[in-house]
Amino acid sequence: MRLTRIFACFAAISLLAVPLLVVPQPASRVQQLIADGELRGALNILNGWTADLGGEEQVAVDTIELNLQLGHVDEARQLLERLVIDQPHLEWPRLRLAEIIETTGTLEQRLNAAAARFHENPNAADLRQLVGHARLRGDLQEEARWLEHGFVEGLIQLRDRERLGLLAAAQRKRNEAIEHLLAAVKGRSDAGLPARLTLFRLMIDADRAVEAVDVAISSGLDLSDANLRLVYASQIVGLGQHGLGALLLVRRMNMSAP
Amino acid sequence: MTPIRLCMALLLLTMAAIAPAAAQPVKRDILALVATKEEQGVRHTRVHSLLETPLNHLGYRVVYRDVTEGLPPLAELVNYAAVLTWFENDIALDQQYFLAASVAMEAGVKWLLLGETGVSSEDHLSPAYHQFIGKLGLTDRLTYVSVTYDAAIAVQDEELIGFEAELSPMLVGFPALVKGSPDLEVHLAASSPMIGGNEPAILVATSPKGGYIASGYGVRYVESIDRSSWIVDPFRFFAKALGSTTWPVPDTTTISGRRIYFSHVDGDGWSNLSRAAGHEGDDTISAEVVRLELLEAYPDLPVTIGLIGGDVAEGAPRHADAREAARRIFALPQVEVASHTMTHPFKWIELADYDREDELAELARRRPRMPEPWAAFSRTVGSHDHGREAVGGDPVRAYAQEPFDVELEVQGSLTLAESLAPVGKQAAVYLWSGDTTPFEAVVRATREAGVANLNGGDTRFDAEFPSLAYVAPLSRPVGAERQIYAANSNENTYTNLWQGPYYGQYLLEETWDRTGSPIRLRPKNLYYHMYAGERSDSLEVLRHHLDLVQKDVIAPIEASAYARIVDGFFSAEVERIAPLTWRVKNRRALATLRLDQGEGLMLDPSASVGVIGAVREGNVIYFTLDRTAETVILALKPPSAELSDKLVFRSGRWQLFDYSATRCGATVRGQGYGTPEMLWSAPVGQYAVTATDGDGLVLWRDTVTVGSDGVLAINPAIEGWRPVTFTIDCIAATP
Repeated sequence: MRLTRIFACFAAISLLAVPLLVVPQPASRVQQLIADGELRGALNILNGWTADLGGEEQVAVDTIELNLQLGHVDEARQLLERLVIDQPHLEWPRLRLAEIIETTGTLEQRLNAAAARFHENPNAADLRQLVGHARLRGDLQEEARWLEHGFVEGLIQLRDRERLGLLAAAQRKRNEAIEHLLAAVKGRSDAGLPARLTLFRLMIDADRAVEAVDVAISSGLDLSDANLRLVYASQIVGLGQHGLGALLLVRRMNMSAP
Repeated sequence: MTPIRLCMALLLLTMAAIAPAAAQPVKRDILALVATKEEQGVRHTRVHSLLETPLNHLGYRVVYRDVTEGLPPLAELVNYAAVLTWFENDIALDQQYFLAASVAMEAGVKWLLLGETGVSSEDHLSPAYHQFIGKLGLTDRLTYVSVTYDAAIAVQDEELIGFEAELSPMLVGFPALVKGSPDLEVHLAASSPMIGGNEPAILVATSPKGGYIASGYGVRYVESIDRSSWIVDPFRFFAKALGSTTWPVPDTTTISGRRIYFSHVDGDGWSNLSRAAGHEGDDTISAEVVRLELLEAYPDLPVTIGLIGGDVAEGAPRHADAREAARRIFALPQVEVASHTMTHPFKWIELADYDREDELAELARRRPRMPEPWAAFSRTVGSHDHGREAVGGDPVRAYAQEPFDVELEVQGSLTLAESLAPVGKQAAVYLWSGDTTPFEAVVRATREAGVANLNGGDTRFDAEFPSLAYVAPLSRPVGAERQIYAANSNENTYTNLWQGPYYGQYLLEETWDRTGSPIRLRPKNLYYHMYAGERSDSLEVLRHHLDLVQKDVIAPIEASAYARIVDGFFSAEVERIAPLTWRVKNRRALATLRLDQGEGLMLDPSASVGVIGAVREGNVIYFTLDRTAETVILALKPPSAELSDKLVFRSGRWQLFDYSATRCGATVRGQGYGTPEMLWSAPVGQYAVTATDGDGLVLWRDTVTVGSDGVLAINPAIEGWRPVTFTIDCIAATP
């Protein structure tokens, strides 16, 4: 019992003493140098302490901030990368690292960072960057993949579903395309003509001509516009196997026309 | 050498042997018909922002004309190498246009048709339109393919398509223009059940009459991230569409065989107190910090400093310190004196129709909200080029005590800057401020003042702007005048308009790399503001880049020299006087000609005039011109196995002039920054080299041996701020 108490006492002393040994005594000197604008001097002292960044968070904060203020971006980035790995519970190193990557990182680094953030915390801003750059590169599969993520997370708008539908159509995923395009065309009064026509053509191709005409008319096909009627009717070209649908369409359009 | 290239070289040489010697002007002008009203002025047109850069690189000048004016008469049209259009919306061209275009094409004017044809629905069936489109080698099937999921790529030229962005399998809609002539070279085509038959629609093609890129297939723009990217390789497309570029192109990137470097500083923030490490609290102004840390520390790198007149005028904050700093800075030999205006206009565009009453009323409106008292000089800051957004948005000018006056703004500020420089050191360039959209009268005033003008463009090519689309053209036409753009953007676009992070300009290095290789498009330009001296991180970024260029193989020149080289690009007239010989006149300060397909050819120094030397980088040859030669004759010949018996300059850090060949040597004058680092090609042997100053005083003398590599290296530790004469004499040349 007595030994236990003595051991506990030593343990308590050790717990107090270790931080005292780790935390540098001349911390006030660093703060004074910073206050005096002697940033390089302060950084020199701090650089000697950063071997064990886990020991004292404030040392890490000061070192990184001073490095950034002095324009030593690579050094700051390396310290932050270590901290993110060693102390994953800390939020600020992630944010600071993200800022550095956003400012000076390569495009690949920026997109990787955005993807990592999105996986951790799905958000519209990162999704927009990921989708946008995939589209800019012409990487249809990557664009569709991110849009699907956004769809699952409830982060995309109807215009994105329109795009998703067109992407699915280009990938020959007819049913998927119809589903997305139907949602977009029914939900948006300003859905694009390519989306409407694609849906129309896909539905006729899927032997859903009657429904295709209904959707076209109910979603705003102006039957008084002869040119537009012609454009719709011309979509039948190449879909001869669904002649019945086509005939029905033409009859219905002509009957409905003023 | 590949068999095809060898064949090309032999063909050229055969042509050289049989062709008669008749001077033939190289047509360098391209007439761009643009909808300036719809596109909000030339600056914002697709042609200016996307096409002029590759066209400039290929040696062409773009002349803008509003489409509402129609085509000029044929007699004028035939002077153009091509007519260029890029319409996207609601342009309805009439039959007269198409008739005139067909006639012009028949007369040899090439047509570059990008985007929509511009035909109205009424004229879609007209013979005039079909004749026009037929001349290009196309036939219009009068159908538009809106639904493309079942379309398929039928032809894709891998050399031309997928330049920065891949062609997405999800095609954008396209008109059914099909191949109408066997001469048409198809680079991209798509088939669709909507067209039927075996006729794919042409999306990108070139022909002897020009070229065509369908709307949405040249550049991809993604609105959600506001970024563009090239699908087509514009250099190859234009080179093919405009025909062979086997003529020496006026080059603005290179001097003395090396990539140009220049640096310039806008005076904004001149008197701001620095918070940089070592200066915090000691009341040192930013200009002083810049002098100490960035100018004096790099005496071998020239820098052009633009003073804002208002900053040193009586009544401006810390104006006495500002004046003293200007005197010290302008006294440095590597510093070129410049003006960054008198009153620092933020909105030049509004000053074109200046009304003092309006300005006073606007100032009165913003006065109650101004953080500082508005008195003698209303020192405000602007979001455009100072960083912090002024209360109530940018004012028209930073200093509005006196009415705006073009004479005071230009000549007045130049005179003021000169008054703070050592006697005889003249202001050489006027650096545009604010929105950098000067109007014609003020650009004219800079020309009449005898100075160059510079700024605008904001070129970037990096992770944030990852496309050639963000490399600005060389200049902007302003009426009959010309505004010369800076070669790179300043720190504002990297630092969220100077709101931080302040180390953002680190990214400039990527733009330097990507505009240097694989195609050397622009010089290296380190462009910043005086307020960089406020902070340690911005200073560190600039030091980083200065350290980079100090180690780099560059030719450092003043900002005015670059601007004048660009002026020379536009004034130069090139004419072919023999199949492999060209004469170049009116080149002004243009210092280099470039041949992009130089394989199988080399400089013929005996038949050339005003050409000091040549250096080859891959297939590209850069020819160094003598600054003092009025007219240049560039003659080429096939590579010879025999060593030349003449000295031929390869490359160096200084600019050379007054070159004359001697029996087995040469004399030449040179001027520049740092040591000359000259390399010459020379016959094997020993050479006595002497460097003398303007008074004939010998600065350096040595004997240099040329070995079997044929390289004569001259790099004495002498300064070239004043011209130095080099005399190279053979002592014992080995035949």
